[in-house]
Amino acid sequence: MRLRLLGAGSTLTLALLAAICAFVAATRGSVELGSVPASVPALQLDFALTPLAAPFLALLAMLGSAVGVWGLRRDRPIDAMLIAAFVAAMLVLLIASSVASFFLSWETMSLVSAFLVAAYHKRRAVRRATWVYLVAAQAGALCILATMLVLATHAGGWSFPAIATAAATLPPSARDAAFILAMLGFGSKAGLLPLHFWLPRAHPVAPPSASAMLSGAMLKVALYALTLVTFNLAAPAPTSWGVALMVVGTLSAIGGVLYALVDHDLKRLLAYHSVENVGIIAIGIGLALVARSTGDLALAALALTAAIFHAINHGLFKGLLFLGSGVVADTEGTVDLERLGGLWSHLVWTGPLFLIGCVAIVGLPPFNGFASEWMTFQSLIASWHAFVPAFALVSLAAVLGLSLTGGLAAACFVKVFGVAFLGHPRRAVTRPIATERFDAATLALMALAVLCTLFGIVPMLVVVPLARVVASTIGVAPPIAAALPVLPIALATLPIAAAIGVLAIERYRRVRTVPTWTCGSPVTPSAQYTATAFSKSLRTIFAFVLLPERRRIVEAGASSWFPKRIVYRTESRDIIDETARRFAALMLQFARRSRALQSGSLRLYVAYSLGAVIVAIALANR
Amino acid sequence: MNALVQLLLVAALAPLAHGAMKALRARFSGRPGPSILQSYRDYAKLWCKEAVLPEGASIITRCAPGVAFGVALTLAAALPLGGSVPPLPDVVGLIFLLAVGHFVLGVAALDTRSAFSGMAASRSMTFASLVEPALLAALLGAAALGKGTQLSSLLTLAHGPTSALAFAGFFLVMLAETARIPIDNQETHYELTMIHEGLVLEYSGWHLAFLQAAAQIRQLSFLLLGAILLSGGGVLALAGWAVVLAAAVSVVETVFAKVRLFEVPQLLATGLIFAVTSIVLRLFGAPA
Amino acid sequence: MIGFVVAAPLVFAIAVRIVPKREVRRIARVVLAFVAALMSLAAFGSIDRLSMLFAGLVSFLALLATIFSSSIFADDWTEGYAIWSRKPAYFIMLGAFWSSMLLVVLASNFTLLWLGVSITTLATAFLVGYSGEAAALEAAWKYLVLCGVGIAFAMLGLIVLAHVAIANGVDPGSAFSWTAIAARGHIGAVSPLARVAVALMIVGFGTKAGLVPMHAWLPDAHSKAPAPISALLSGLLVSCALYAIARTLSVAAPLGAANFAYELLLWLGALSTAVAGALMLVQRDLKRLLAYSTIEHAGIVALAFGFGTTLGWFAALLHIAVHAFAKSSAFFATGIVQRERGSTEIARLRALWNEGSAGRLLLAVLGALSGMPPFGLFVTEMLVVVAGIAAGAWIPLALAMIGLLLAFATLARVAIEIEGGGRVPTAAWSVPIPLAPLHRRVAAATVAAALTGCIALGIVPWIRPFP
Repeated sequence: MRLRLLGAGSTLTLALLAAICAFVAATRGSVELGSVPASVPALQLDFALTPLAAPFLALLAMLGSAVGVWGLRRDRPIDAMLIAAFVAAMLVLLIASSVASFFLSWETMSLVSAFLVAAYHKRRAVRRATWVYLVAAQAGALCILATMLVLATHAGGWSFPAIATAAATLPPSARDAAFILAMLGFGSKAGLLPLHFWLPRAHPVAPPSASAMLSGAMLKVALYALTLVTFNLAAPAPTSWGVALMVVGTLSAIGGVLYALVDHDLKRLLAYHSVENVGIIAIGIGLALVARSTGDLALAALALTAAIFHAINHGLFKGLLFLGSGVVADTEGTVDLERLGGLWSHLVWTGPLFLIGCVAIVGLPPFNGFASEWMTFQSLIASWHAFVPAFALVSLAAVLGLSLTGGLAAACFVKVFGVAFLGHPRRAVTRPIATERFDAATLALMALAVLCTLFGIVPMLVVVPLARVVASTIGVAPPIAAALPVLPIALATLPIAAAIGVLAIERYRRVRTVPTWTCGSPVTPSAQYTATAFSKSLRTIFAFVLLPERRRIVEAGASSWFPKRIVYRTESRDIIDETARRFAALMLQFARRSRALQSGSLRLYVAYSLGAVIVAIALANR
Repeated sequence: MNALVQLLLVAALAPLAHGAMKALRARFSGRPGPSILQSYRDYAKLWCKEAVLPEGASIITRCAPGVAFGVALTLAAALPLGGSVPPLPDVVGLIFLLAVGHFVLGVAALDTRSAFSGMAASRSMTFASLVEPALLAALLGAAALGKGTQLSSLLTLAHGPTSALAFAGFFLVMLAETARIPIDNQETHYELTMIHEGLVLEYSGWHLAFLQAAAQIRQLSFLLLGAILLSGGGVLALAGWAVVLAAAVSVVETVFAKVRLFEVPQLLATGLIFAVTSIVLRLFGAPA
Repeated sequence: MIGFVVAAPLVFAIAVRIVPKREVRRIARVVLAFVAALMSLAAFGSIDRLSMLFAGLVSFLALLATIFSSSIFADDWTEGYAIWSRKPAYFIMLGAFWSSMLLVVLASNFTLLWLGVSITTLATAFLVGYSGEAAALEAAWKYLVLCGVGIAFAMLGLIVLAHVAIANGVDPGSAFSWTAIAARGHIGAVSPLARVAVALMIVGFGTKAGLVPMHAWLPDAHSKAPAPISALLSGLLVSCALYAIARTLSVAAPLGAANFAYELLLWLGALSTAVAGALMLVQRDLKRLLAYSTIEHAGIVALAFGFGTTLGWFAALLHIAVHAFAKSSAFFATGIVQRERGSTEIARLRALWNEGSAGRLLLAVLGALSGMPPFGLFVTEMLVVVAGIAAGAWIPLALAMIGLLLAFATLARVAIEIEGGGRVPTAAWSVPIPLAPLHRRVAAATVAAALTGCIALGIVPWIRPFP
């Protein structure tokens, strides 16, 4: 208990620290925080506050305090401590300003989060997920290190300002190498499409607070790093980078939401939605890069503002949803949508707050997801006019992909909320269900929900400071559409008013309740529409991507017309995941083959030595 | 003030348009059909009836008619007919607005625990997600490219083959969004084929009145939107084109049969391709 | 003076036999080991910095191994378990091993160095086969043969080297002294014989260092030896061999063979890292896995030497030191686990996290070996990459990075599997022998001490000025 208090307390303190850093960075611009000199210049540890990090620090502060409060109530003590360490690592990463300090905190962040993923290590799947996560993280880290070193070697300096200054004279090959490595490293951490495979394994098995931090904060930190490299350390970026990022982002957005649709494990589904939202953010960053390289700085600023705004928003609503799913897991013992149902009646706090999260992630007005997605759309559409047709086509594809994503996300969250929270439980509920009470965990959810709503109704609360930050990165303030401050309110007023009106009429008009009419047969919980059934039509339409497989097992009864039991199961294969698995298997097979080198025969071994000598001498006489 | 007038006018005329289309379709298929004022009578009837809800339905079910109605009203208020409030008529905003309606009705349908409603919710969300990009592309293709996303730019539209393509896309999408044959059938009584009607299957009495009003206002709004695309302003021209469009929809409903469920995506994709082609042509400098 | 320092461990190990009582003898042994370790400090006045570094390493880690041995084998001898019953020879041979390593690192010329390397082979061959099991004896035999071959190559190399040096004008009396050769410098055209000498010496000493393809003896020998001996073999003996290679490099430059030597080491290192990384993937025994990890790290060191830059040298030397600490602690921790669980088979080890300090230390150790912060290997591996990119050695570096990643993947998988999960029942044939609490505590403390060293050395670059 004391350990948990300590952990939650440290998390809250660190969140406060992050808030202060964010405030200072946003108001005062770059501030040097200090430096630990090293005898080897490459290891010098510099720390500085930069405007670009400010929004991410602010997100860390908001999400960190919510998770800290949540931890008071629900975290296991060790997890509370690890969460504090995780927040600390991300905080240091955001203020890191030299290669060594960045890489050190990056690795620490990966390692600490791996411990969080491994929390329930008794289950085999968890151990497996942890391993996949660690390997993906380490492979990415090597790419990141290479990126940084390529840039730093050219610059001859190891602090970020020095690298940024020297970036202008980078030879094109080094610049492109740095970008490709950065895309591999940061892209895999952020969960961009071909490298996302670790994410839907690792996020669902972690404790809820850890999932919230992983999805809400860590992915954003990776995007921050990607922005840092493309806009600062390796600037100016060629147009192709931006185009690449937009394409990858669009694919991630669509792919993420499609896999989410056919997944019925609530937490894994949310993890896939992280892939989707990271894709949306990547589209914004990519557009900003293209615009910047073509000289349209105002558009670049607008797109970057939209991207960072969406990053903040995603952190908030995804945190809300993951923490909410944690409450569900605690009270129900499962997050399998096929077994849930009817939570609304007893999760009287979590239910409505979770609904806010769902509406926000779908991007409906007046919640924060709408504001940032709308801005992304605005910048994309504006780019048609600004770009040459070839780039405009990419941007058009992104618009279409984004709107398809929005529609699919709506379908997905109708499924999530309708199936899990409404209707009857889809399994036998044995113990009596107590009505949820207001506690620290609910307070955390409420704080996040309030922020989601607040930033949705008054987007200028975020956009105005963000515009200053972006202006200091790109040099031009983003042209914020005049419609933005009023549009969410304008769109939402009448629906809300009408809903209230209908409820008001109900006070004067009779409303009778009767059993649901289903053609005369009794309404049983199992007759309700299930998550699998709900996603059936989309699964069929997108079968060419999702490759659904179905198995029907019929247990024969008295006659073939009256089977005893029918089991129907359907699964979708994640092609990329499968490719990754095949690759790993191939590596393992190669390694097994190479064991023949170590056969145990002494003669062979001596031959190796002799061979080595002969080759070495031959080389010596060359 | 203008906004209020526009809102009330669209709302008041929506049942008339609905009735007229119904009558027209009946005439086309050789039936006498109801009076064109039948919708108003239906409202009076529904309004007097008590509302019946399924047991255990949450507050979401009871809010949904209001939200759907509000969404339809907002759509009506956003039409660039001279009375719209400045930020409202925004193409992207409207897409999201329509999504609000779909989302709320979908969630409410799952709340009723009826498998029919659940099925309708699934189909409605499926098609809504396909309609969204197509509608966006159609409206953007018709709107002056790159001049913002305000619907008012539709009024200054030049007409030509490319905008006709965009309009073709719009027309297909409109059929889906207003629950018309060949995508949906408003008059079906067979639960397995319903989409929109299935969503509201459990509603009755004055709740249903709100939902029907929402559907009818939305329908008229779409007809007007189409008329704006075709005419580009002028009250008389607008009204004329709206009538022509209503007639066209009725003809389509008479001539075509409802397509199979999984052919709907192809239909919507066709609409999307029309719209996207028009945008691409414009991007490469083709005249309107 | 240096003679005393070198002989001290062996002499003390023999002398301690005089003490009759077992308990007193154990304490006397540890005290004398301390004295022997401290004595090496006395030699610091007359040796150069490179020798100082390695002498310090040898003394500290051999001391830890002595303490660890006397705690973990303490009750074997009282209770007479079969495998560990030939007690008297153990510590004497440990002392001989220690002395021979001191000889290697304190030698002032190649003759003595070569002699030291030969003696280490002899001393440790007995220790490898110490348990008397057939597999261990086979490992010892292969070890002797292969290292014998290697040492022979090194000797050939030395003879050629002396020839080249004399031809180069070095006084024949000091033809084997690296200071003399370096002082003389290079005159005239580069003889290809110089490159041959360097090639032979690198292959010869590289055999002891476990560089691929001369590595074949290492996995067997390191995994079959008793845990503390494995620790010294992997942690120190490999380091001593790398020290010999470093000395070779120091004479390669004056003889004009530097570029060739660096190139050779670069590729040997890259090859070692990649092959060891790949072979690690399929290992089923923890000690064997650690042995392959030694090859991998030796490869990294060779690679770092091969960059041929000051930064590369710095990274290589620091990596040797940090790895020595990390690998010693790894084998120590494995030794405790082996005692308490009766097996080092990865499939049989589960849920070690809940099994007391040794299990938890093992997790830290595996983290250290896979190059995670806050351990020193993180810093040194980063330095190696920095040096490699600065030197522009892209392909060897990439090859090594692949090996590093494969090694990481294996170590991570093993760490997760053996630390997590639920406990697997021990098989009938394995005999877990629980340690007495005091001995377990002392043994765990040695692991912790070595790990602390591994962390402490990691922050050296921020404290000491770069040489």
